[in-house]
Parts: sequence; structure tokens; C-alpha cells
Amino acid sequence: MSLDAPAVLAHGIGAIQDLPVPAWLFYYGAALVLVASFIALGVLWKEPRLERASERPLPPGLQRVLLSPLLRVVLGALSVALLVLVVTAGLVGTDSPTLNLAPTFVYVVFWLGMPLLSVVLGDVWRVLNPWRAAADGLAYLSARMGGAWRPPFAYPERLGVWPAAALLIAFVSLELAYRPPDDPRAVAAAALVYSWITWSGAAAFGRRAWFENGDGFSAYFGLFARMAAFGVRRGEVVLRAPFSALAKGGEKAGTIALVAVVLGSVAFDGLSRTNWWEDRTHTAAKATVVSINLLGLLGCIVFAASTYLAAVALARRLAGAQTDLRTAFLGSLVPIGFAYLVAHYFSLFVLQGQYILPLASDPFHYGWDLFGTKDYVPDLTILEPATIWYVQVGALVVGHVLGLVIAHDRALSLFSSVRSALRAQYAMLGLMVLYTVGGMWILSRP
Amino acid sequence: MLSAGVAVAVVLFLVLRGEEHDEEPQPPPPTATQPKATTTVETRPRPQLPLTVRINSRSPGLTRISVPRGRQVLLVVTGEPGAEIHLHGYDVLRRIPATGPARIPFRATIPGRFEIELEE
Repeated sequence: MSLDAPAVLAHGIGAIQDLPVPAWLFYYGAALVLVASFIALGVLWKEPRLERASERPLPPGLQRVLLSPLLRVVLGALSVALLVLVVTAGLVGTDSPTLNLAPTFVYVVFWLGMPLLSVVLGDVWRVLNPWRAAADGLAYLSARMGGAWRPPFAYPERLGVWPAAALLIAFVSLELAYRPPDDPRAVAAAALVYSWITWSGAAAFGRRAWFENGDGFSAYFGLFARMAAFGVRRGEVVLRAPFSALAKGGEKAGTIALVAVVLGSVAFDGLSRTNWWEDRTHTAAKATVVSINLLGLLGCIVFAASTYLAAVALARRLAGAQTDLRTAFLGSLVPIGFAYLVAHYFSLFVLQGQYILPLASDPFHYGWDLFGTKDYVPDLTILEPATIWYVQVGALVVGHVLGLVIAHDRALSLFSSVRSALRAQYAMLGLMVLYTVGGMWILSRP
Repeated sequence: MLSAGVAVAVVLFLVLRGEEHDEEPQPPPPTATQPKATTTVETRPRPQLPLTVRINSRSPGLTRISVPRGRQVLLVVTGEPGAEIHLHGYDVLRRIPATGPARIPFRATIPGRFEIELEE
């Protein structure tokens, strides 16, 4: 086996790639985005609404159940058990990416399922996070035994969520740049390294500081949780206007990197699936492919961040604003990021996700049948190509409109006059058209 | 670890348009103006031959092949005996026998793009 054998084409995991969105649908989608943008400028409200939207606590009975320590302990224990199972499967189970539980669980159920769950239910990751649950459990036990742990360092607040962004970039590098990304051993090793960093961070800076700033997954899912109609305020579960949490501003340092990772990683995933990219990389040696992929991935992330910064600088000039707007409009990009995720991974989630049934029964591929679903055969024909295309273009159009609404609301609350707000909006509008139409264009490439 | 290096990857591209069905074609609905046929018309079409796709796994490269949906396809893969061919999606694994090329027949029912990998 020579070293310069061409690398596998696979990305993350998944046996099927979508067919490209047909050109006519791309043109309709792009036209719809432009029309929606013009209408939005004309008819949107004249004073900030989302920012001032009120929150209502859920009924006390429901609160007691949702916030009960018992629920927390049970979910946390289940989650820790799942983490142990996935890592064990990755280490000692079969080395086949499709027959081992670890790759499908991590890349499909966890990585795609959690953003969806967060958008629907809010920040449930806070309770489901196995690293947090284990750390909390350990802290509880050590406190009971009289040895309360004091973190030796204070978290430097100016770092913001940069550590989380760095860890996320490491994760998407494994998923989209490393070859083969779905190797069970690599997935398990990555989970172990992530666990070590997370628990070390929590021990050094305190659990609260680390899980709010340093844990990549908490920051990532937390971003999507802000789209949800449910949130936690002062120890109460509240019902709020969906997306209103994105219109409040007050972003931590490094949030721009989080948003850029969402947009840039999905854009790179799409780009690297095109014939153009595959034709240029498939004969290269594995190390070369991984390096090119890394450069491409980082390039896409930097592109997302720098276009945003350019648009914000332009908005500031157009509106004649004195204040720094660099973090002001980040919330408006979150729905667009989620739309990117839906557009790219909807079919993968539905098709590859079915494999979790046989894998759950036989996670190591030892021939077990724990739940009687070992022989379940996934149906890969349940999605018509046309269905996938409409979902893809529809998600991007809806995400675009939501982004516009949030940016508009932000502008109204930041500027004293509607006129300045609208002028600032032109720049954000241009940026969003670029992101949405660009995302659609990548999906339409063969 | 995957023991695989991939010497050849073929991406099969199943297109929605030009959908074909191998089922018995529906006879045209009888209409009033249709003259009564006096000769026996052969209603069975000639059986459609499978679309044969030949791949030489010794020459590295990336090729893409479009196949109409519903079509019967026969992959004929030549190469080193013992090498394993993996048709993704349909999840067919076949070794190249010592006696000749590996033959993988399948019906193109799943729309999408799939890799055909040579795993050594």
C-alpha cells in the first residue's frame, strides 16, 4: 500500500450525497430572497419589538417538574452513560464506520440533533451535557465528603467565548477536514481529548465559568437555543417571543467566531462536495488532502467573519454611528446559520439517522440485539429529490427573512432615528443576500 | 483503521428526470376512434438490457456516471483479485474473484450520489 494513495471522498459520515438543486429553483429562490428583502425594508415595524418583547413564566407546577433535581440527575446520568457507551464503542467495537455506534451517534444524532432540539426546546443542553453532569456529580460528592474544590484561577473575562470557538473549530476540522472522519477510533480519541480539556478547564476556572465560555458545544447549541420560545431567567423557565433572545445584544467577545464557524463550516462542507473541489483533491496524498481541507475550512470561516465585519463597518459609516457595532448584529446571523444546517443536513439527518436503530441494538457490532432492532433496514428512498430541494431552498429563504427581521429590530433599538436605522440596514441586507444566495448557489453546484 | 486506500472512486449520479420503469407498460387507453386491431400486436416490450458500467480499478481516477432512476445497472469491475468493491448507499461489498471481474447487479432505486470505492 503506497503512501500516496488517494484519500476517501467521504465527508463526516453518510452513504448518500444530495443531488444538486436544479438551476431554475436556484433562480426562483434567489429572486424570492431579493423580493423579500425589498418588501422587508418597506413594511417592517418602526420601533423595536423583539428587543422589548415580554417573557412569561411557565405555570409553577410545570416549573417544579422541569427544574427538579431528580429530572436533572436522571437525564445527566443517562447522558454520562451514553458518553461512556459511545467512547467504548469507538475504542473496542468494530472499526467499520457504519457498523460502529460512535460515528453515526456523534455526527448525526448528537451534532445535528442537538441544534434542532435546542431551537425547539431551548437550552436543554445545559441539562443534557454529559461533561457538565459528571463535573456536577463529582462536585456534589466531594462537597458531601467535606472537600469542596476551589478553582485555582479566575476566568479572564476578556477571553469571552474564544476558547469555546477554538474547540468548535477543532471539532469541525475533525468532521470536515480529517480523513477518514468517521473512523470510530478517531471519533473516540477526539471525545477523550475533548473530555480531558473540558474537565481540566472546569477544574481550573470553575464549572460555571468553563461551561459558559470554554465548552464548545455549550456555546454552539446555546446559540441556537436563543431562537427558541423557551428560556431560563432568574431560575424560572419562561415563555418568550421566539428569536427575541437574539435581538437583545450584549454578545461576549468571540461570539463572532462562533457564528462564523456555523456559517463557514457548512459552506465548506458544501464546497468540498462539489465536483470542482473533488476533481482537484482526489488524487492527492492523504496528508495533502487534510491540509488543503483545513485551509479551505479556515478560509470559509475567515470569509464569513470578515464579510460580516466589512458589512458592519459599512453600516456604521452609512448610519454615521459613533458606537462600535461589531457585535450588534450577530444575533441576526443565527437563523441564517440554522437555515444552512437544515439545508445541508436535513437529508443526512433523515436518511443516515435511521441507522441509529440497528446501531442502538448492536453498538459494537458484536452481534447483540438489545432492543430487537438489529436487523432494521433503513429506507433510503423516503425522500424524493424534489422534497430535499424545496426544503433546502425554503430553509434558506425563511432563515434570510428571520435574519432581516432581527437585524431590523436591532438597528431600530441602536439608532435614534428610523432613517439611520434603515441606512445601517442596507449594509446588513447586502451581507445577508450574499450569505443566503451564496449558500443556495453552493447547493446548486454539481 | 480502515485498511483502505482508494485507488478508484466512481460517483454514481442518479437523476430524477428520465425516470424509467421496467414494469409492464400500460397499454394505451381504448378510445372510440381506435380501429380494431386485426393482427396480433406484441404487447411485451423487448426486455431492457441492464446498463453496463465498466470500471477498471487499476487506473486511478474519479469518474461520474449518471443513471436514470429505476434502471437496472450492472457494474463490472476489473482489477486485482481479492480487492473489495464497495457500492455505498446500496451497501454492496464484493470481492474481485480470481477468475475475472466482479459483477454487481442492482436496480437504481435510491436517488442521490454514491461512491463506488475500491478497498484494498
